[in-house]
Amino acid sequence: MSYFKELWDGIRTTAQGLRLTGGYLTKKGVYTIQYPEETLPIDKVTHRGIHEYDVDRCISCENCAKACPVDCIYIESAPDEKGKPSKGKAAIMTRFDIDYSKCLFCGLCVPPCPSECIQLGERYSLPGHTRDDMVVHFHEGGYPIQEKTEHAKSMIAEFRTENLYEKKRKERADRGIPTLRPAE
Amino acid sequence: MSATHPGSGGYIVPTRDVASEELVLNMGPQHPATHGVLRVAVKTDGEVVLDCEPMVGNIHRCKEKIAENVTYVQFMPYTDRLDYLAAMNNEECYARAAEKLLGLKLPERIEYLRVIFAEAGRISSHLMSIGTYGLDVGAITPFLYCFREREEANHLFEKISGGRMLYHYMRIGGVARDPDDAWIQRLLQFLDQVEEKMDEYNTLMTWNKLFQERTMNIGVLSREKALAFGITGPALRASGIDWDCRRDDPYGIYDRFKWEVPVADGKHGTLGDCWNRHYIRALEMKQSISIVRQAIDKMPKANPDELPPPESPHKPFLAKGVPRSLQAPKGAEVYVRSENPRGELAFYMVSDGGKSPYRVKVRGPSFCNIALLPEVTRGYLLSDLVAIIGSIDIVLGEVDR
Amino acid sequence: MTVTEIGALLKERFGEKILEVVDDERHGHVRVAADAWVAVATFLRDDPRTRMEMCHDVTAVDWIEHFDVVVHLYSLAKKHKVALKTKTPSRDDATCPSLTGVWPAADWHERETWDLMGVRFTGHPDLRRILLPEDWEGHPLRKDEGNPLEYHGIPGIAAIRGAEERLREEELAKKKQRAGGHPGPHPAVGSHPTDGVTPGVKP
Ligand code: SF4
Ligand code: SF4
Repeated sequence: MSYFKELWDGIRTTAQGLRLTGGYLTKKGVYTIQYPEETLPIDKVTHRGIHEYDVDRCISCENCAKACPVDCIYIESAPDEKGKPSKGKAAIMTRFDIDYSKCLFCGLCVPPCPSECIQLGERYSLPGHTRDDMVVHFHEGGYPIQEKTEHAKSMIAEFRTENLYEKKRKERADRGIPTLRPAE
Repeated sequence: MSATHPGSGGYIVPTRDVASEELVLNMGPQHPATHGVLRVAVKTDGEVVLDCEPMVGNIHRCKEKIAENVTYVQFMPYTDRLDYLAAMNNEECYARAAEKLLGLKLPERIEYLRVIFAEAGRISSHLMSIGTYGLDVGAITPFLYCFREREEANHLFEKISGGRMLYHYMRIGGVARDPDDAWIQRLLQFLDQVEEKMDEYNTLMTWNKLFQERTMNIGVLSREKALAFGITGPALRASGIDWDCRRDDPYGIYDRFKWEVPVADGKHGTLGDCWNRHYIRALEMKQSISIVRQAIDKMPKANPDELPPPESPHKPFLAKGVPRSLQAPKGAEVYVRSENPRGELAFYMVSDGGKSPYRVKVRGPSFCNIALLPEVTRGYLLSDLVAIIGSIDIVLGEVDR
Repeated sequence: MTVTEIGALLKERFGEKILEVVDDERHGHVRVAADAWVAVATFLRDDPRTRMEMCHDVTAVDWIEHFDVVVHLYSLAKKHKVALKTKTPSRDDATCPSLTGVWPAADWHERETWDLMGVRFTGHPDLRRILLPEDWEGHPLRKDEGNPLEYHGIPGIAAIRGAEERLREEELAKKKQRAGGHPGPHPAVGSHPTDGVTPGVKP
């Protein structure tokens, strides 16, 4: 007898489940999206994707490289008159590479930056065939920054009044370092 | 001469009439039912498991060595990658361990945020384990339904922390960002949604006869064995032991909330079987929902004297007086544990006065729980092995560290 | 019971085998002589006043001259906890009696400690490597253990670092040769179907 009871229990509970899933046939609402034609909305302020970086405002202080747990930021700047790597507002970056085969996207490099010229952006796709493809050379333009903070905006204004953008761009052109950033 | 093995569902397993031979089978490390890269060497006789040995270490990354080479703050993102399905809970435990070592005091609001996020992380993690457990025993629909809810949790966490899986939200002495009211409202909606859908999962899985046949009386873990093997979390409570370190050894502010610790009573199935482990998880989610609601109700506003708003959206939301460069006193040691979705995670940290810890030991709950696999699988059928591994609910990132 | 009370209980029973009782709010522990290690553990498990049913964790700390083996114990019935510590005789003779006979839970923890720290637990039934492969040499969590250069043809991190720097220099030299021309964006930019798609917007 218990055989039939168990059989009946199986049929009954399965029918309950089927009723539930069947109910979704008529319910409205989409839960899947067709990637890559459609993508999920991304929060522009908080999303931790590939970095955005402003090569002109960077003062080559290396705070970001020191804060990075995996040491995946490589920084070099052109020598100044004394032959030492240039620092401060006049710094000319000759190398600012981030190795994304190592990066954790943790965001620890963002808060220590005094000029707020590095932040995590909204891009997330960086396919490549070799390890070298994973290294992004930000000093060549890389991904320009989208300003998010008041402090950054005020710094830009300061840079403009001192005409530093023009100066740096000219100097970089003289040294043969390309810039992707369009002239303002 | 024949014998009935426990869990063979009454099937007669011949032992003498038919010549049979022992066979060593290799399951994994690429087997989808091993929840990662677990390799199990199974000694079988026909379909019956005689013995098995889990072989771990395939994704060993020597996190403990890394911790000795990075600073306290820099180790935080690595803790996400221990139990990657419950990253919030790992971070919370590590943050508390580091704060205790460094002697930091937390403002009220941060304490409440810790509870809210840890419990929301538990809900999201249990959604995953319930869903994939369905997949293990052959039910695909609950998996899709659970992921629908988990997706919303991912959205919520992404909005606040920037990451969908590896959040890096908790910081030593604070959190990454203070949630606004809109976010809290959305979290409450998410809780309502999960609470409503819980019945669906129970209809589809817990009370389904076919599911019960696959999981009831399978992989029975007795009280004594559970204790002796140091099992923690839902697996311990499914064996009928009333222990939850959130309630019995409260850390943080857990003593301010009222909730019930679900403990299996053996009304359905056998105490300590797969079904009970699954059901305890389902019940725990309900309790977590209640804790989050209580915490949101009681959470105070930030007091700018002890918890100043960050200067820019890039900066973390930290308590006042958290030094930028953290250094623990020489010779200080802590052992801090917390109730993770999979059991008790603990950090043992020793400092030598430097900027990085001298020694960090991670006691992963999955590591201890998987050690018992041979004990619970002996005598069951090979197909039950999958059900048992799924019900113990391990995450290999934490087993291998 | 507090750690002090447990320490007093143990002192009464084991006398001078109990070397030190530290009731620190961070980490209360009892330091035990190695020859009484198993006896103290068995006593703590079986005595009705302590009833330490759960061996939470076994680990070791490298203090250069010696290793400290640390065990964290919890009692679910009595809701108290204590940590036990013991020293290995020396760095070269890193041995400690095994607790597997007292708590089966210690089995994997001790294997892990042997694997990563190189503390040999005498009396352990099956002391093999657990996380690292069988043919691995050395114990990585020891303080003097460096990064391996190579393992079965897989270069270690130290070797990769050197190679990376070399590649990088070659690349820079190549770039300098490419005079004048604009190198264009990074090769990865624009090579994926989603690149250039604004997230969240259907094209
Ligand atoms: S996100 Fe983290 S890992 Fe990546 S570059 Fe910044 S600090 Fe380094
Ligand atoms: S911290 Fe900012 S300014 Fe300093 S080197 Fe890094 S990006 Fe440049």
